[in-house]
Amino acid sequence: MFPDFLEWPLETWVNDGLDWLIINYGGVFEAINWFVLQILLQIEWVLKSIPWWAMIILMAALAWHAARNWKLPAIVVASFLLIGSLGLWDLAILTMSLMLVSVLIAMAVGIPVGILMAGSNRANAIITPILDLMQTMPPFVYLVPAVMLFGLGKVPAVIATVIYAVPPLVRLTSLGIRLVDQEVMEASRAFGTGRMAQLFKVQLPLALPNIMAGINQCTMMALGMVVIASMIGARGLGEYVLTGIQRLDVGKGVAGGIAIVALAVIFDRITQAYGKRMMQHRSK
Amino acid sequence: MKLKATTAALALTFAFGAGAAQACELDRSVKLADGNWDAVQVFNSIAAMILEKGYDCEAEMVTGGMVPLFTALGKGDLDVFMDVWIPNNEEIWAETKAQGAVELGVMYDDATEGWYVPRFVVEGDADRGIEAMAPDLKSVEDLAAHWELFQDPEEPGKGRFLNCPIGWGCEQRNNAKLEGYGLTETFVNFKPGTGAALDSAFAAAAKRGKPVVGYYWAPTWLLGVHDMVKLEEPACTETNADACAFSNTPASVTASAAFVEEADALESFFANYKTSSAEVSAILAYMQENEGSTREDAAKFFLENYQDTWTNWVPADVAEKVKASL
Repeated sequence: MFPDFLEWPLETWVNDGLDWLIINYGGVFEAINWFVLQILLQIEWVLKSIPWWAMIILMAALAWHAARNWKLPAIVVASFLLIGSLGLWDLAILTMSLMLVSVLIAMAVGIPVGILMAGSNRANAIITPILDLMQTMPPFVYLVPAVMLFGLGKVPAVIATVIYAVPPLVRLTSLGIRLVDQEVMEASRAFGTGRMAQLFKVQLPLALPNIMAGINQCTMMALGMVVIASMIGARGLGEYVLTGIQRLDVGKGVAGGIAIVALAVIFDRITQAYGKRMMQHRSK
Repeated sequence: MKLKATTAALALTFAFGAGAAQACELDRSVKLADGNWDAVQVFNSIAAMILEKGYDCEAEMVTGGMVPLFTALGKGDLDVFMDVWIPNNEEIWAETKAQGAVELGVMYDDATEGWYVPRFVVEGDADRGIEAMAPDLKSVEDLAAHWELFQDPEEPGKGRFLNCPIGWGCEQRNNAKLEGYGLTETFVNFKPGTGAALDSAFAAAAKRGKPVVGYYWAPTWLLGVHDMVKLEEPACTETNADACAFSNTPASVTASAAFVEEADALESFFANYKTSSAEVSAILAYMQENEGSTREDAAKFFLENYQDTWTNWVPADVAEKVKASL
């Protein structure tokens, strides 16, 4: 047995701290909730109002723009048709908007943090263990407090998804910048380039393929989170899968699962194709 | 060789002489269905302590969702499933029963379910400076007029009704009720995904003094800690079968047919397991109010403080052994 006197009351602190936050800062979290929800509802509204065929054409065009060949658009069209033919179009749109908002927030947070980590060894030493923590902490641990702070529904789902999905983006952004050749940096300094210009004109463009890989990872993890997010009332494909599992309706679970995989294929291939194009662009 | 056999025979006689409860009836552990709600988990911990200390059995708790647990019980992979609200799970129970399970007895019959709002919504709370938000909100029929109080941030044109998590028997009953009470126009039928999410939605609203309406049930720690009122519902008649009050639900102990066949003494222990909604709430409130207390602590609390209850479940010699272990 571990000696009692070495134990410390972490559980009590966390509970009291959470209570204190809920009671005293409920309004702040409500405001954040409102703000995130507005973005989400806007994106959802836009995606919902696009007719299915137009959505397929748009995404196929995006795929063509990314890959410049006809194979990728064909895969995208086939994946969307598969989702529609399973009768899951509307739910897939809900899941897509949840994922898009999560990825946008993750980019807004993750890329600057990655830049910070690349620029300072001290920041790197502080942030790395936090990222490790975020990647290994079981999602349920922060899902429930997220519900207590933000209420049930889409917003805590987005917050939890961001926590889950942002670490690879931060790491790859930082890695990409650190991998930029020192000689290139010295050369740009020799031309009298300022620090900011150096960052935006030299480091970031050269790090783009890595950042794109980070966005790709981030998107995949966000999609992986949708089933877990449905456990706190986020609607979409995850809820469909959860219903299937909880009612032991295996068919339903598999259909929902396949639709999630189809969405993953679409976004994985498109972001990867963009990453590849940036790589070619760089080598020119 | 002969000597060994004699010793074994002697040992056997000795064991029987010392009391039938010395050796467990099963040569394997007793498998208890560990559902994902507090009450069944505490029942399982209490039963496990009695099985281990009183009957010298091993107890094993198997976690899972409602449906998988029922399936396992029917197949005999699980022995006992306590706190089963059969009327809420009629269909799946019928299937499980047909596969090979029996109802051993009713544990308590005064459990209630219903649609709840925090008391401060109706009566206000002078201590916290909360004014009554809807003094005339008494029954489910009044909800339509007050939907704005419960506004759903995701669909601001409607109120939010917190239903049961998907997969619970009550979820579909609530769907039918929302329909029957004509509330689908004014309320979003919100399904929180898990019990933990439903709890935290209620608890957070109660702590912050915000209105909330949804399904909840007693006995639960939540209703012990946060003061809530149950909305009145019309009594059931022949014409409104879908949209009427929940009846008080009996909570049963169920067991697999194989277990009943194999273990008579254990069967009678589980069949005699009788408690009440009030006792269950007391245990759950104990857990909630004593931070860091485990379900085992709660089980111990029950065994220490409710001896008049549990000593009726078991023969006197078993009760003595359990008491001695406390």
